Amino acid sequence: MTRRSAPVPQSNDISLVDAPAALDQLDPLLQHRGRLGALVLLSGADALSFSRLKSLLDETDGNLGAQLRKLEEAEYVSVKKEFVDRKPTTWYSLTDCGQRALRRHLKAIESLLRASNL
Amino acid sequence: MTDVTQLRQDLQFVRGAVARRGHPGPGPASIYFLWAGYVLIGYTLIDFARAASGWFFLIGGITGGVLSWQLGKRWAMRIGECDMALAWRSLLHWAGGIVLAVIAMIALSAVILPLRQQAYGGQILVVLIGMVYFLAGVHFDRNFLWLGPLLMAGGVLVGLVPRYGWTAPGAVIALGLVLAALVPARGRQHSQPPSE
Repeated sequence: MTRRSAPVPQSNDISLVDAPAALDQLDPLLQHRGRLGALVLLSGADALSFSRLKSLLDETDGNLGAQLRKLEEAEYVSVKKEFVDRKPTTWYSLTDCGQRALRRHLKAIESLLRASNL
Repeated sequence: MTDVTQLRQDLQFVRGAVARRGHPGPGPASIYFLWAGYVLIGYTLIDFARAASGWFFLIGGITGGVLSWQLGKRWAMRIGECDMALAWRSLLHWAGGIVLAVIAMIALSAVILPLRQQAYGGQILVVLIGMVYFLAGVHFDRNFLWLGPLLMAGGVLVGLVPRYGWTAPGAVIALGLVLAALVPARGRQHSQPPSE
């Protein structure tokens, strides 16, 4: 008895790949690369300032501010404002909720990439 | 609909950001100057005012530790990156390494007669601290990868100095720390704080 092999996807479109569970696990909020980048960077430190995130992500003030506000509203990051060398500095930290969301999202990406043979 | 190509581009973007962050590095150069001064003064005191050296090492060591912590914290604030795990790792490396080096020297002096007679003690200590330097190179600052072996070689060579057996090793360690502070290392690439 011969086993029939699974059909090979002909496109880069993930929807052709049989990985519905992984797709469900993708966090819509983290499908923006700026927000994903911010969370990944925050996962490697206790806190990063707005200016540090801006220089690392190479984003404009307005764009980064808007993305971080969305993460803050979802309670993925916490915000603290203080003066450093008499200059106002905004610090961002990853919350437990953000940590869990990031882990789930990265796991889903990994499953999708594996399913698409990348 | 999620496109794999888009996903891959996003991941490359994130990877680029993480690569730009690099390694936060060992901290500001001022910490290195501080400890260079501490070592030079302390070791010189052993040769010229032995009674005062013990107090100097005790009080200076504690003060230097607190000052280093404050300088490191201030530096982290300025570059906009707070990483307590790295701070603790640095503290454990240097404090633990120096304590282990001193314990090893004391243990060696218990079994080796010339050490008990206070000969070669400075040399042994410098060689052991050279190993601590080398491990700092592995973990924090690439400069120490060459400074460590250089210090170990220096520790052996100071045995040729006929007088001031402690001042000479102290000068070698201090010189090593000053060099580590002055030579730009891959680990110290974020010395300029970004503007907000």
